[in-house]
Amino acid sequence: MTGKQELSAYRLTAMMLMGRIFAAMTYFPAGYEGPGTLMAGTLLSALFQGLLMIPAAVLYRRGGREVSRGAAALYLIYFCYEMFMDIGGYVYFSDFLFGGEVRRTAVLGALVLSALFLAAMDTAVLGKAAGTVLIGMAAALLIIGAGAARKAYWVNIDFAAADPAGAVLRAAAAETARCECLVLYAFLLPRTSLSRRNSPGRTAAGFLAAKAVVLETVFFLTAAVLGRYFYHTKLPVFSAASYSGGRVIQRFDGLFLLIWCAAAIVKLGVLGACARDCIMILRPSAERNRAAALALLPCAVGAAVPVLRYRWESVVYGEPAALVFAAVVILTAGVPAAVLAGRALRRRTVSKGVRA
Amino acid sequence: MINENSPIGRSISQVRSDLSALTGNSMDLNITEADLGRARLCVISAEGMLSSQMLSEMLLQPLNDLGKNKDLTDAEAFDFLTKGSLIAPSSNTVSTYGELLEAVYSGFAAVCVRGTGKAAAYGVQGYEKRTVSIPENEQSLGAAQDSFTETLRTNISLIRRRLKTPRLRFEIIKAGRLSGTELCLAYISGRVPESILSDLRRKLGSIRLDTVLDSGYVRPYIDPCYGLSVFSGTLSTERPDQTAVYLNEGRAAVLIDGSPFVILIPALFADNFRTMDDSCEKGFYAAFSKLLRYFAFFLAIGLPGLYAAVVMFHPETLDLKLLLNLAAAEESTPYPLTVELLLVMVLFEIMREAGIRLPKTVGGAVSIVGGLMIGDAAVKSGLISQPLLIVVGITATASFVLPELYPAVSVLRIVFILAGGLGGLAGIGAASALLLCDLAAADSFGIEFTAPASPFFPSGLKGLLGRDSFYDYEKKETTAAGYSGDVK
Repeated sequence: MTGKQELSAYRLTAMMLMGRIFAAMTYFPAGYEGPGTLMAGTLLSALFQGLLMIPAAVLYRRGGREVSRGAAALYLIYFCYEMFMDIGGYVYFSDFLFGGEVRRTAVLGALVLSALFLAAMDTAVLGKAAGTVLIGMAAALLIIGAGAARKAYWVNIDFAAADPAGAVLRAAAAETARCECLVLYAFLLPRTSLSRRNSPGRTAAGFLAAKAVVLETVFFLTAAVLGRYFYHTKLPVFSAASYSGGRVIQRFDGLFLLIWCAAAIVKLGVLGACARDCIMILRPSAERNRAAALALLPCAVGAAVPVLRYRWESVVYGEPAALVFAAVVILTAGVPAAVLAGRALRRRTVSKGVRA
Repeated sequence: MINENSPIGRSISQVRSDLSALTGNSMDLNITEADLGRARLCVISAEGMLSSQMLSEMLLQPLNDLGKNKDLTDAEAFDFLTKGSLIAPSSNTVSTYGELLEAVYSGFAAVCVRGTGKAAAYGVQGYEKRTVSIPENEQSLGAAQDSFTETLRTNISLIRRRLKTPRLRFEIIKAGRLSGTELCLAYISGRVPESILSDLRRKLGSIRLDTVLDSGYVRPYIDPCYGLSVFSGTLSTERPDQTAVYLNEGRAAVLIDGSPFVILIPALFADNFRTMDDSCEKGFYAAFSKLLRYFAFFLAIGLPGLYAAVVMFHPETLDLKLLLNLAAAEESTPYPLTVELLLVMVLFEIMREAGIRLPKTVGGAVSIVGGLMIGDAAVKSGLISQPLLIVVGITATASFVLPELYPAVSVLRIVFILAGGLGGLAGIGAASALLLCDLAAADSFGIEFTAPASPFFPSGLKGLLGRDSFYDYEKKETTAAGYSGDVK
């Protein structure tokens, strides 16, 4: 426990990918209009997200290894918002898993305590854990897919929409708004130790390709099994898993549950650790564990109010998608681009001064 | 005022009175005075610490022969003792009472000669010690059948016999203000990074305990995971062949005088699943055994928790026939399943603890009583169900597969029972995530505990899932330090 572990490209990718797949497994927000358009929108969004990731990659290549205080404040707000949504979402959706057998307060308490433990850890450590959870997710999806194959209908994958092109674009935008992984990329890239083989560009491309493959698989699987019902249901993969089974194990929904909960806790830990790092950039003298608690607890309290008063549904389905989309674009591309522009401007001013 | 740092007196009577004052006239200190020629000297030894045969043959006889010279002076006698003879294989010259007593209580015989203010000490140890016997905690079918003993020198020789290279080094570091225990740092020069060795030397030198009696006293000082993780960043073994294997792989070993267990550093999680039998079997069987051990680890930790989660929260995952049987069995028991499981597990741990502490003859009786009580009477009285007993039996057997991991396994099992019993598979998922992060956070001297799986080193994959072939060993030099390279 020397705290010397390094954040590698693989670990960064694992954290980003795990977070995104967890979101896809949980629910589909408003903006999706059909399986075909959703899948096409997801592919289109990968291209758009690739463009968004360029400034951060360029900044890394030009030696940008530090996050400024101003940027840290912006990132902190975003991570806190994501933690708020994830804590509330986890408690709300766990109702559908336990059928009311476990109280929301108990779920909330267990989640926050676990996340506090994780948020005090290094992002490299959480990246390693995320990698293992990701492998578990992939295995679970494969098992669920194989078990549900006999109940999957290809004809459910259709492009039917009143305005197919518009539906694809809306799906692409909605998909990007759900990608807090892009913000993670921009925030964590400066502290990632990349080998020659893994440049920032390659890391981004690898992530986008893997994300596209896994998300397309998730959408295909759920749509094929559940039909159009798939984007109306909460926990779509859970619903699909309940159709999936084998000879020894009758239903695989328990497998989903196991991996979904592990992913939720690790994801929340990652967000908590990033928020903690933001606090420590803003106030370098802050103690690590206290900073983690300071980042996480207000979000938990904020989420507890609506979720324990059974008002979370309006929060989760009333999420200001346009605002979140703008936040993702600004924090992923805008902040690194602004830093690059600032550097170029400073360089020009210095060279002018030298000439004068 | 005489103390341990005082120089040795110049007259024999002063030496005697100083030593009496320092030791409180302790009865186990023998001081024999003699006049040889014109020289006066005394032989100091500790009761029962030396071999009387070695003493008379190696020291007293040559001294007597020397005494035949009637003109022998003090200076000549001391020169003979320190420079002019090869009396014993290990000898040194001491000049303070502290050094003298330390040597004497380590089994040396010290000779003080009048007027020199020094003593010559000779290693003629002959105290009682346990002979080398078969390893009791790490038995093996095909590998060597000897194990370390409580005697440091014997243990050093057991390693040296297997590694005759001059690159194998042993360094003695003293620890324990009262016990003055010898710790021995062993390593193969060039295989262990100097940063690890210097860190180890510093940590071993920082032990400020009064007594260091066992490896457990040393571990907190050198284990980076101690108190931070359920897993240990060090390994412990009683097998000299295992120690030689790890030394060859670039680990360092810490031998403790008085302990038959050697600490190996740095440790990887995968090391817990290795045995010496792996190298005695064919590759396919070694791989099969290793996979069995991994499976046993998961069973030992997770099976009772999974059972509680599935039966209490997710019965729909079970086959209908099995489900009906389980329902019928659980229907007849008075307590919730989680309570039943905790109860039986705690009883099992008590039984195990009793079995370890009691004499072997009585230990068998405890097992019978335990087996009858838990197995038969508890089921018949309706206290616990029969399927639960099967689960506990499988878990207990699986937990004995990995003795080095037993402390972690026994606690984690309880955690998983609580997680599964209170939160179903979601609880198991949460507990798994926490365990995973704990495992991921552990590292030992800069080498990640989960290597070579994460960070991934393709060269370590074969060893992780089975064992490298001996042809691979010929080609490469596998060292743990190699896993501290670039992060994959």
